[in-house]
Amino acid sequence: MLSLAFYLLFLLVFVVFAVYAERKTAAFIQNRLGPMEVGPRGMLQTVADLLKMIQKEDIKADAVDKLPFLIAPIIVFVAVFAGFSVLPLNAEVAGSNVSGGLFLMLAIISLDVLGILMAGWASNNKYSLFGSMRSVAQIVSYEIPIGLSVLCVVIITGTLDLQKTSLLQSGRGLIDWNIIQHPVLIIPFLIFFISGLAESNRTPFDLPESESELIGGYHTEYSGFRWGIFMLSEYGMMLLLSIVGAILFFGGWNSPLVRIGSWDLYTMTSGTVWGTFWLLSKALLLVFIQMWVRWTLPRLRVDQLMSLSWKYLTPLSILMLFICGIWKLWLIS
Amino acid sequence: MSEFVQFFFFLLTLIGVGVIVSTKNVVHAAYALALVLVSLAGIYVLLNAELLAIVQILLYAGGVVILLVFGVMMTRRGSEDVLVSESKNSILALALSLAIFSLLVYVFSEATFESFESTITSDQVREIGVSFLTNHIVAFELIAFVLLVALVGASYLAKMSSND
Repeated sequence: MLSLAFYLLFLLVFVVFAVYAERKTAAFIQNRLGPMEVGPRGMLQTVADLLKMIQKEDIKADAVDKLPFLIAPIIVFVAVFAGFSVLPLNAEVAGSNVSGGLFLMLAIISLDVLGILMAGWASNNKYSLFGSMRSVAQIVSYEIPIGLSVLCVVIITGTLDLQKTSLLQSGRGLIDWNIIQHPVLIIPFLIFFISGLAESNRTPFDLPESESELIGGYHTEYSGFRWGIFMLSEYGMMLLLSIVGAILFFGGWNSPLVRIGSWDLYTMTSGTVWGTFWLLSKALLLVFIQMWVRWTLPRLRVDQLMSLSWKYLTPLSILMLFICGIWKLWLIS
Repeated sequence: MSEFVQFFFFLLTLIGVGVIVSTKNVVHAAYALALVLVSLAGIYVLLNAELLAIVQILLYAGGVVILLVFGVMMTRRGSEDVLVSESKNSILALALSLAIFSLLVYVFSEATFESFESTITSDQVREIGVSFLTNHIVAFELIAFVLLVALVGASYLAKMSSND
Protein backbone atom coordinates (compact mmCIF):
# COMPACT_ATOMS: atom_id res chain seq x y z
CA MET A 1 0.00 0.00 0.00
CA LEU A 2 2.86 2.35 0.85
CA SER A 3 4.34 2.16 -2.63
CA LEU A 4 0.94 2.76 -4.22
CA ALA A 5 0.27 5.85 -2.10
CA PHE A 6 3.71 7.16 -2.99
CA TYR A 7 3.14 6.51 -6.69
CA LEU A 8 -0.23 8.31 -6.64
CA LEU A 9 1.33 11.47 -5.22
CA PHE A 10 4.38 11.14 -7.44
CA LEU A 11 2.21 10.68 -10.53
CA LEU A 12 0.26 13.87 -9.83
CA VAL A 13 3.43 15.90 -9.35
CA PHE A 14 5.09 14.12 -12.28
CA VAL A 15 2.31 15.06 -14.69
CA VAL A 16 2.57 18.75 -13.86
CA PHE A 17 6.31 18.77 -14.55
CA ALA A 18 6.19 16.27 -17.41
CA VAL A 19 3.85 18.51 -19.40
CA TYR A 20 6.22 21.42 -18.82
CA ALA A 21 9.21 19.25 -19.72
CA GLU A 22 7.46 18.03 -22.82
CA ARG A 23 6.76 21.57 -24.01
CA LYS A 24 10.30 22.67 -23.23
CA THR A 25 11.77 19.63 -25.02
CA ALA A 26 9.57 20.32 -28.03
CA ALA A 27 10.63 23.95 -27.98
CA PHE A 28 14.32 23.04 -27.78
CA ILE A 29 14.04 20.55 -30.65
CA GLN A 30 12.11 23.04 -32.78
CA ASN A 31 14.49 25.87 -31.87
CA ARG A 32 11.91 27.91 -29.94
CA LEU A 33 11.71 29.04 -26.32
CA GLY A 34 8.49 27.36 -25.22
CA PRO A 35 6.49 28.63 -22.24
CA MET A 36 8.30 31.60 -20.71
CA GLU A 37 5.67 33.85 -19.12
CA VAL A 38 4.32 32.22 -15.94
CA GLY A 39 6.92 31.89 -13.20
CA PRO A 40 10.68 31.66 -13.73
CA ARG A 41 11.29 30.42 -17.28
CA GLY A 42 7.60 29.47 -17.48
CA MET A 43 7.85 26.77 -14.83
CA LEU A 44 4.39 27.48 -13.45
CA GLN A 45 2.70 27.37 -16.86
CA THR A 46 1.26 23.88 -16.25
CA VAL A 47 -0.03 24.88 -12.83
CA ALA A 48 -1.87 27.78 -14.44
CA ASP A 49 -3.23 25.48 -17.15
CA LEU A 50 -4.34 23.03 -14.50
CA LEU A 51 -6.15 25.73 -12.53
CA LYS A 52 -7.91 26.83 -15.69
CA MET A 53 -8.83 23.25 -16.54
CA ILE A 54 -10.44 22.32 -13.22
CA GLN A 55 -12.57 25.46 -13.29
CA LYS A 56 -14.14 24.56 -16.62
CA GLU A 57 -17.72 23.42 -16.93
CA ASP A 58 -18.22 19.66 -17.17
CA ILE A 59 -19.74 19.69 -20.65
CA LYS A 60 -21.64 16.73 -22.00
CA ALA A 61 -23.49 17.02 -25.27
CA ASP A 62 -27.14 15.99 -25.55
CA ALA A 63 -26.48 13.08 -27.86
CA VAL A 64 -23.85 11.34 -25.76
CA ASP A 65 -24.46 8.01 -24.08
CA LYS A 66 -24.50 9.49 -20.56
CA LEU A 67 -23.20 6.90 -18.11
CA PRO A 68 -20.45 5.39 -20.30
CA PHE A 69 -19.40 8.91 -21.32
CA LEU A 70 -18.97 9.92 -17.70
CA ILE A 71 -17.17 6.83 -16.41
CA ALA A 72 -14.89 6.19 -19.42
CA PRO A 73 -12.05 8.50 -18.25
CA ILE A 74 -12.22 6.97 -14.79
CA ILE A 75 -11.92 3.44 -16.21
CA VAL A 76 -8.87 4.46 -18.26
CA PHE A 77 -7.16 6.03 -15.25
CA VAL A 78 -8.01 3.18 -12.87
CA ALA A 79 -6.69 0.62 -15.35
CA VAL A 80 -3.40 2.46 -15.76
CA PHE A 81 -3.00 3.28 -12.09
CA ALA A 82 -3.78 -0.28 -10.97
CA GLY A 83 -0.68 -1.28 -12.93
CA PHE A 84 1.43 0.66 -10.42
CA SER A 85 0.30 -1.64 -7.60
CA VAL A 86 2.91 -4.32 -8.38
CA LEU A 87 5.88 -1.98 -8.75
CA PRO A 88 8.52 -1.94 -6.03
CA LEU A 89 9.87 1.38 -4.84
CA ASN A 90 13.16 0.44 -3.22
CA ALA A 91 14.81 -2.48 -1.43
CA GLU A 92 12.45 -2.20 1.57
CA VAL A 93 9.17 -1.20 -0.04
CA ALA A 94 7.91 -3.85 -2.47
CA GLY A 95 4.68 -3.66 -4.42
CA SER A 96 1.68 -5.92 -4.04
CA ASN A 97 2.70 -9.46 -3.14
CA VAL A 98 1.45 -11.27 -6.24
CA SER A 99 3.45 -14.17 -7.62
CA GLY A 100 2.50 -13.23 -11.17
CA GLY A 101 3.06 -9.51 -10.62
CA LEU A 102 4.36 -8.61 -14.06
CA PHE A 103 1.67 -10.68 -15.74
CA LEU A 104 -0.99 -8.97 -13.61
CA MET A 105 0.32 -5.57 -14.61
CA LEU A 106 0.15 -6.41 -18.32
CA ALA A 107 -3.37 -7.79 -17.85
CA ILE A 108 -4.69 -4.77 -15.98
CA ILE A 109 -3.25 -2.10 -18.22
CA SER A 110 -4.81 -3.84 -21.21
CA LEU A 111 -8.19 -2.89 -19.70
CA ASP A 112 -7.65 0.77 -20.51
CA VAL A 113 -8.69 -0.08 -24.07
CA LEU A 114 -12.18 -0.68 -22.73
CA GLY A 115 -12.35 2.85 -21.34
CA ILE A 116 -11.04 4.29 -24.60
CA LEU A 117 -13.63 2.34 -26.59
CA MET A 118 -16.33 3.49 -24.19
CA ALA A 119 -15.24 7.11 -24.58
CA GLY A 120 -15.17 6.91 -28.37
CA TRP A 121 -18.50 5.18 -28.72
CA ALA A 122 -20.34 7.18 -26.08
CA SER A 123 -19.21 10.50 -27.55
CA ASN A 124 -21.43 9.80 -30.58
CA ASN A 125 -18.96 11.54 -32.82
CA LYS A 126 -17.27 10.01 -35.84
CA TYR A 127 -13.82 11.39 -35.01
CA SER A 128 -14.02 9.93 -31.53
CA LEU A 129 -15.19 6.60 -32.88
CA PHE A 130 -12.38 6.44 -35.44
CA GLY A 131 -9.89 7.37 -32.77
CA SER A 132 -11.04 4.69 -30.38
CA MET A 133 -11.13 2.04 -33.12
CA ARG A 134 -7.59 2.87 -34.13
CA SER A 135 -6.61 2.75 -30.50
CA VAL A 136 -8.03 -0.72 -30.00
CA ALA A 137 -6.42 -2.09 -33.14
CA GLN A 138 -3.12 -0.57 -32.07
CA ILE A 139 -3.08 -1.55 -28.41
CA VAL A 140 -4.30 -5.09 -29.04
CA SER A 141 -1.62 -5.56 -31.72
CA TYR A 142 1.24 -4.13 -29.69
CA GLU A 143 0.35 -6.09 -26.58
CA ILE A 144 1.80 -9.16 -28.29
CA PRO A 145 5.35 -7.85 -28.87
CA ILE A 146 5.40 -6.11 -25.47
CA GLY A 147 4.30 -9.32 -23.74
CA LEU A 148 6.86 -11.42 -25.60
CA SER A 149 9.71 -8.99 -24.95
CA VAL A 150 8.87 -8.97 -21.23
CA LEU A 151 8.80 -12.76 -21.40
CA CYS A 152 12.40 -12.75 -22.67
CA VAL A 153 13.46 -11.13 -19.39
CA VAL A 154 11.25 -13.51 -17.41
CA ILE A 155 12.97 -16.50 -19.06
CA ILE A 156 16.37 -15.22 -18.00
CA THR A 157 15.50 -14.07 -14.47
CA GLY A 158 13.03 -16.89 -13.83
CA THR A 159 10.56 -14.75 -11.90
CA LEU A 160 7.49 -12.62 -12.56
CA ASP A 161 7.96 -10.69 -9.33
CA LEU A 162 9.42 -7.25 -10.02
CA GLN A 163 10.99 -7.00 -6.58
CA LYS A 164 12.85 -10.28 -7.14
CA THR A 165 13.93 -9.08 -10.57
CA SER A 166 15.44 -6.01 -8.91
CA LEU A 167 17.10 -8.06 -6.18
CA LEU A 168 18.72 -10.32 -8.78
CA GLN A 169 20.40 -7.28 -10.28
CA SER A 170 21.87 -5.89 -7.09
CA GLY A 171 25.35 -6.23 -5.65
CA ARG A 172 27.92 -4.61 -7.88
CA GLY A 173 26.22 -1.68 -9.59
CA LEU A 174 26.09 -1.23 -13.34
CA ILE A 175 27.66 -4.57 -14.25
CA ASP A 176 24.85 -6.50 -12.58
CA TRP A 177 22.10 -5.01 -14.70
CA ASN A 178 20.20 -7.45 -16.88
CA ILE A 179 21.05 -5.63 -20.08
CA ILE A 180 24.80 -5.78 -19.30
CA GLN A 181 24.83 -9.30 -17.82
CA HIS A 182 22.74 -10.60 -20.69
CA PRO A 183 23.44 -8.52 -23.81
CA VAL A 184 20.95 -10.70 -25.66
CA LEU A 185 18.28 -8.52 -23.99
CA ILE A 186 19.17 -5.41 -25.97
CA ILE A 187 16.79 -6.27 -28.80
CA PRO A 188 13.92 -7.20 -26.43
CA PHE A 189 14.44 -3.82 -24.74
CA LEU A 190 14.09 -2.02 -28.08
CA ILE A 191 10.93 -4.02 -28.84
CA PHE A 192 9.63 -3.20 -25.36
CA PHE A 193 10.34 0.49 -25.80
CA ILE A 194 8.76 0.75 -29.27
CA SER A 195 5.67 -1.20 -28.19
CA GLY A 196 5.49 0.90 -25.04
CA LEU A 197 5.26 4.02 -27.17
CA ALA A 198 2.38 2.43 -29.03
CA GLU A 199 0.68 1.27 -25.83
CA SER A 200 0.67 4.76 -24.39
CA ASN A 201 -0.52 6.28 -27.68
CA ARG A 202 2.56 8.41 -28.11
CA THR A 203 3.97 9.74 -31.38
CA PRO A 204 4.98 8.11 -33.73
CA PHE A 205 2.03 5.90 -32.79
CA ASP A 206 -0.46 8.58 -31.79
CA LEU A 207 -2.98 7.70 -34.49
CA PRO A 208 -5.83 7.32 -31.97
CA GLU A 209 -5.59 10.97 -31.05
CA SER A 210 -3.85 12.49 -34.05
CA GLU A 211 -4.74 16.14 -33.73
CA SER A 212 -4.43 17.02 -37.38
CA GLU A 213 -6.81 14.35 -38.68
CA LEU A 214 -9.04 13.39 -35.79
CA ILE A 215 -8.94 16.57 -33.68
CA GLY A 216 -7.92 14.57 -30.63
CA GLY A 217 -9.51 11.22 -31.43
CA TYR A 218 -11.39 9.54 -28.64
CA HIS A 219 -11.27 12.56 -26.34
CA THR A 220 -12.58 15.08 -28.89
CA GLU A 221 -15.84 15.55 -26.96
CA TYR A 222 -14.21 15.80 -23.55
CA SER A 223 -13.25 19.02 -21.83
CA GLY A 224 -12.18 20.25 -18.44
CA PHE A 225 -11.48 17.78 -15.71
CA ARG A 226 -12.49 14.63 -17.58
CA TRP A 227 -10.12 15.51 -20.41
CA GLY A 228 -7.50 16.08 -17.75
CA ILE A 229 -7.99 12.53 -16.48
CA PHE A 230 -7.27 11.21 -19.99
CA MET A 231 -4.05 13.22 -20.11
CA LEU A 232 -3.15 12.04 -16.61
CA SER A 233 -3.62 8.44 -17.74
CA GLU A 234 -1.48 8.94 -20.82
CA TYR A 235 1.40 10.34 -18.78
CA GLY A 236 0.76 7.68 -16.16
CA MET A 237 1.16 4.98 -18.81
CA MET A 238 4.43 6.56 -19.97
CA LEU A 239 5.74 6.58 -16.42
CA LEU A 240 4.52 3.06 -15.68
CA LEU A 241 6.17 1.53 -18.73
CA SER A 242 9.35 3.50 -18.08
CA ILE A 243 9.54 2.23 -14.50
CA VAL A 244 8.90 -1.33 -15.66
CA GLY A 245 11.57 -0.92 -18.35
CA ALA A 246 14.02 0.40 -15.75
CA ILE A 247 13.29 -2.54 -13.45
CA LEU A 248 13.46 -5.22 -16.12
CA PHE A 249 16.51 -4.06 -18.03
CA PHE A 250 18.37 -1.38 -16.05
CA GLY A 251 18.64 -2.70 -12.54
CA GLY A 252 15.55 -1.20 -10.91
CA TRP A 253 16.41 0.61 -7.69
CA ASN A 254 20.06 -0.46 -7.73
CA SER A 255 22.74 2.16 -7.91
CA PRO A 256 24.63 2.24 -11.23
CA LEU A 257 27.91 3.21 -9.56
CA VAL A 258 30.56 0.53 -9.26
CA ARG A 259 33.30 -0.06 -6.73
CA ILE A 260 36.56 1.54 -7.80
CA GLY A 261 39.48 0.25 -5.76
CA SER A 262 38.79 1.05 -2.13
CA TRP A 263 36.03 3.53 -3.05
CA ASP A 264 32.86 1.52 -2.59
CA LEU A 265 30.61 3.94 -4.43
CA TYR A 266 27.92 1.30 -4.75
CA THR A 267 27.37 0.90 -1.01
CA MET A 268 27.67 4.64 -0.51
CA THR A 269 24.79 5.24 -2.90
CA SER A 270 22.49 2.43 -1.76
CA GLY A 271 19.67 2.64 0.73
CA THR A 272 16.01 3.47 0.96
CA VAL A 273 16.12 7.03 -0.30
CA TRP A 274 18.88 6.34 -2.80
CA GLY A 275 16.95 3.32 -4.14
CA THR A 276 13.87 5.42 -4.79
CA PHE A 277 16.05 8.09 -6.34
CA TRP A 278 17.77 5.68 -8.75
CA LEU A 279 14.56 3.96 -9.80
CA LEU A 280 12.76 7.21 -10.52
CA SER A 281 15.80 8.76 -12.23
CA LYS A 282 16.11 5.83 -14.59
CA ALA A 283 12.38 5.96 -15.29
CA LEU A 284 12.43 9.71 -15.91
CA LEU A 285 15.36 9.30 -18.29
CA LEU A 286 13.27 6.81 -20.29
CA VAL A 287 10.33 9.25 -20.19
CA PHE A 288 12.65 11.90 -21.60
CA ILE A 289 13.62 9.57 -24.45
CA GLN A 290 9.92 9.05 -25.16
CA MET A 291 9.47 12.82 -25.44
CA TRP A 292 12.56 13.13 -27.59
CA VAL A 293 11.18 10.49 -29.98
CA ARG A 294 7.83 12.25 -30.08
CA TRP A 295 9.30 15.49 -31.33
CA THR A 296 11.70 13.82 -33.75
CA LEU A 297 9.71 11.27 -35.71
CA PRO A 298 6.60 11.79 -37.86
CA ARG A 299 3.43 9.81 -37.30
CA LEU A 300 3.03 6.42 -38.98
CA ARG A 301 0.16 5.53 -41.30
CA VAL A 302 -2.34 2.92 -40.11
CA ASP A 303 -1.04 0.22 -42.46
CA GLN A 304 2.58 0.97 -41.55
CA LEU A 305 1.63 0.71 -37.89
CA MET A 306 0.03 -2.68 -38.38
CA SER A 307 2.84 -4.06 -40.52
CA LEU A 308 5.43 -2.86 -38.02
CA SER A 309 3.68 -4.78 -35.28
CA TRP A 310 2.68 -7.95 -37.11
CA LYS A 311 5.42 -8.33 -39.72
CA TYR A 312 8.47 -7.07 -37.85
CA LEU A 313 8.11 -6.76 -34.08
CA THR A 314 6.07 -9.91 -33.40
CA PRO A 315 8.25 -12.34 -35.43
CA LEU A 316 11.39 -10.67 -34.08
CA SER A 317 10.19 -10.99 -30.49
CA ILE A 318 9.32 -14.67 -31.02
CA LEU A 319 12.83 -15.18 -32.41
CA MET A 320 14.31 -13.35 -29.41
CA LEU A 321 12.27 -15.55 -27.09
CA PHE A 322 13.90 -18.57 -28.72
CA ILE A 323 17.38 -17.03 -28.50
CA CYS A 324 16.85 -16.10 -24.84
CA GLY A 325 15.84 -19.70 -24.16
CA ILE A 326 19.08 -20.93 -25.70
CA TRP A 327 21.02 -18.28 -23.76
CA LYS A 328 19.45 -19.40 -20.51
CA LEU A 329 19.83 -23.12 -21.16
CA TRP A 330 23.36 -23.39 -22.51
CA LEU A 331 25.26 -20.17 -22.36
CA ILE A 332 24.90 -18.96 -18.78
CA SER A 333 24.39 -22.09 -16.73
CA MET B 1 -13.47 -8.31 5.80
CA SER B 2 -13.00 -11.09 3.29
CA GLU B 3 -16.72 -11.90 3.41
CA PHE B 4 -17.60 -8.30 2.82
CA VAL B 5 -15.30 -8.15 -0.23
CA GLN B 6 -16.74 -11.40 -1.50
CA PHE B 7 -20.26 -10.06 -1.09
CA PHE B 8 -19.25 -6.93 -2.96
CA PHE B 9 -17.99 -8.96 -5.93
CA PHE B 10 -21.11 -11.14 -5.92
CA LEU B 11 -23.22 -8.00 -5.97
CA LEU B 12 -21.22 -6.54 -8.86
CA THR B 13 -21.56 -9.79 -10.80
CA LEU B 14 -25.31 -9.84 -10.23
CA ILE B 15 -25.67 -6.20 -11.29
CA GLY B 16 -23.68 -6.92 -14.44
CA VAL B 17 -25.74 -9.97 -15.28
CA GLY B 18 -28.94 -8.03 -14.64
CA VAL B 19 -27.83 -5.31 -17.04
CA ILE B 20 -26.88 -7.85 -19.72
CA VAL B 21 -30.31 -9.46 -19.57
CA SER B 22 -32.40 -6.33 -19.28
CA THR B 23 -30.70 -3.83 -21.58
CA LYS B 24 -31.57 -3.59 -25.25
CA ASN B 25 -28.44 -1.69 -26.15
CA VAL B 26 -25.88 -4.22 -27.39
CA VAL B 27 -22.89 -2.05 -26.47
CA HIS B 28 -24.13 -1.58 -22.91
CA ALA B 29 -24.56 -5.34 -22.63
CA ALA B 30 -20.92 -5.79 -23.67
CA TYR B 31 -19.73 -3.30 -21.03
CA ALA B 32 -21.78 -5.14 -18.42
CA LEU B 33 -20.17 -8.39 -19.58
CA ALA B 34 -16.77 -6.82 -18.88
CA LEU B 35 -17.98 -5.92 -15.39
CA VAL B 36 -19.14 -9.50 -14.79
CA LEU B 37 -15.83 -10.95 -15.95
CA VAL B 38 -13.73 -8.59 -13.84
CA SER B 39 -15.85 -9.24 -10.73
CA LEU B 40 -15.50 -12.98 -11.33
CA ALA B 41 -11.74 -12.42 -11.42
CA GLY B 42 -12.08 -10.76 -8.03
CA ILE B 43 -13.89 -13.83 -6.70
CA TYR B 44 -11.11 -16.04 -8.09
CA VAL B 45 -8.55 -13.99 -6.17
CA LEU B 46 -10.53 -14.48 -2.96
CA LEU B 47 -10.51 -18.23 -3.66
CA ASN B 48 -6.70 -18.08 -3.97
CA ALA B 49 -6.72 -18.76 -7.70
CA GLU B 50 -4.42 -15.89 -8.50
CA LEU B 51 -3.20 -16.97 -11.91
CA LEU B 52 -6.71 -17.84 -13.06
CA ALA B 53 -7.85 -14.33 -12.09
CA ILE B 54 -5.02 -12.74 -14.07
CA VAL B 55 -5.73 -14.88 -17.11
CA GLN B 56 -9.43 -14.06 -16.78
CA ILE B 57 -8.69 -10.32 -16.89
CA LEU B 58 -6.17 -10.62 -19.70
CA LEU B 59 -8.10 -12.95 -21.98
CA TYR B 60 -11.75 -12.34 -21.25
CA ALA B 61 -12.06 -8.75 -20.05
CA GLY B 62 -9.06 -7.46 -22.00
CA GLY B 63 -9.43 -9.60 -25.10
CA VAL B 64 -12.80 -11.17 -25.76
CA VAL B 65 -14.99 -8.29 -24.59
CA ILE B 66 -12.91 -5.73 -26.44
CA LEU B 67 -13.06 -7.71 -29.67
CA LEU B 68 -16.79 -8.11 -29.08
CA VAL B 69 -17.35 -4.36 -28.69
CA PHE B 70 -15.07 -3.75 -31.63
CA GLY B 71 -17.08 -6.17 -33.75
CA VAL B 72 -20.34 -4.51 -32.73
CA MET B 73 -18.97 -1.10 -33.67
CA MET B 74 -17.61 -2.28 -37.02
CA THR B 75 -20.93 -3.81 -38.02
CA ARG B 76 -22.95 -0.71 -37.13
CA ARG B 77 -25.32 -0.01 -39.96
CA GLY B 78 -25.32 3.60 -41.12
CA SER B 79 -28.82 4.82 -40.38
CA GLU B 80 -29.25 3.47 -36.88
CA ASP B 81 -28.35 5.67 -33.96
CA VAL B 82 -28.25 3.05 -31.26
CA LEU B 83 -27.78 -0.65 -31.71
CA VAL B 84 -30.85 -2.29 -30.29
CA SER B 85 -31.41 -5.99 -29.89
CA GLU B 86 -34.91 -7.24 -30.21
CA SER B 87 -36.31 -9.78 -27.85
CA LYS B 88 -38.78 -12.28 -29.22
CA ASN B 89 -40.43 -15.31 -27.61
CA SER B 90 -39.75 -13.93 -24.15
CA ILE B 91 -42.14 -16.42 -22.48
CA LEU B 92 -40.42 -19.39 -24.12
CA ALA B 93 -37.01 -17.97 -23.19
CA LEU B 94 -38.08 -17.47 -19.58
CA ALA B 95 -39.43 -21.02 -19.38
CA LEU B 96 -36.22 -22.45 -20.86
CA SER B 97 -33.97 -20.47 -18.56
CA LEU B 98 -36.03 -21.45 -15.53
CA ALA B 99 -35.79 -25.09 -16.62
CA ILE B 100 -31.99 -24.90 -16.98
CA PHE B 101 -31.71 -23.02 -13.68
CA SER B 102 -33.74 -25.60 -11.77
CA LEU B 103 -31.76 -28.40 -13.40
CA LEU B 104 -28.52 -26.78 -12.25
CA VAL B 105 -29.84 -26.22 -8.73
CA TYR B 106 -30.95 -29.87 -8.61
CA VAL B 107 -27.58 -31.16 -9.82
CA PHE B 108 -25.61 -29.01 -7.41
CA SER B 109 -27.79 -29.91 -4.44
CA GLU B 110 -27.52 -33.65 -5.21
CA ALA B 111 -23.83 -33.72 -6.02
CA THR B 112 -21.30 -34.39 -3.30
CA PHE B 113 -18.19 -32.34 -3.68
CA GLU B 114 -14.99 -33.81 -2.38
CA SER B 115 -13.47 -31.42 0.05
CA PHE B 116 -9.78 -31.26 -0.50
CA GLU B 117 -6.98 -29.62 1.34
CA SER B 118 -5.97 -26.62 -0.68
CA THR B 119 -2.28 -26.80 -1.44
CA ILE B 120 -1.58 -23.18 -2.05
CA THR B 121 1.99 -22.22 -2.59
CA SER B 122 3.43 -18.81 -3.03
CA ASP B 123 4.54 -19.42 -6.59
CA GLN B 124 1.47 -20.62 -8.45
CA VAL B 125 2.75 -19.59 -11.84
CA ARG B 126 5.80 -21.85 -11.57
CA GLU B 127 3.78 -24.82 -10.31
CA ILE B 128 1.18 -24.53 -13.05
CA GLY B 129 3.93 -24.15 -15.63
CA VAL B 130 5.75 -27.23 -14.39
CA SER B 131 2.58 -29.30 -14.36
CA PHE B 132 1.75 -28.15 -17.90
CA LEU B 133 5.06 -29.45 -19.16
CA THR B 134 5.07 -32.71 -17.17
CA ASN B 135 1.74 -34.26 -16.19
CA HIS B 136 -0.42 -32.44 -18.71
CA ILE B 137 1.95 -32.25 -21.65
CA VAL B 138 -0.49 -33.91 -24.10
CA ALA B 139 -3.29 -31.50 -23.29
CA PHE B 140 -0.87 -28.60 -23.51
CA GLU B 141 0.42 -29.64 -26.92
CA LEU B 142 -3.11 -30.31 -28.11
CA ILE B 143 -4.18 -26.77 -27.14
CA ALA B 144 -1.14 -25.38 -28.91
CA PHE B 145 -2.09 -27.35 -32.02
CA VAL B 146 -5.72 -26.17 -31.93
CA LEU B 147 -4.56 -22.56 -31.57
CA LEU B 148 -2.19 -22.99 -34.50
CA VAL B 149 -5.01 -24.36 -36.65
CA ALA B 150 -7.20 -21.42 -35.61
CA LEU B 151 -4.43 -18.95 -36.53
CA VAL B 152 -3.85 -20.52 -39.93
CA GLY B 153 -7.58 -20.59 -40.55
CA ALA B 154 -7.98 -16.95 -39.58
CA SER B 155 -5.19 -15.79 -41.85
CA TYR B 156 -6.58 -17.91 -44.70
CA LEU B 157 -10.04 -16.35 -44.28
CA ALA B 158 -8.54 -12.87 -44.16
CA LYS B 159 -6.55 -13.54 -47.32
CA MET B 160 -9.63 -14.88 -49.10
CA SER B 161 -11.74 -11.83 -48.34
CA SER B 162 -9.02 -9.44 -49.47
CA ASN B 163 -8.84 -11.20 -52.85
CA ASP B 164 -12.47 -10.45 -53.67
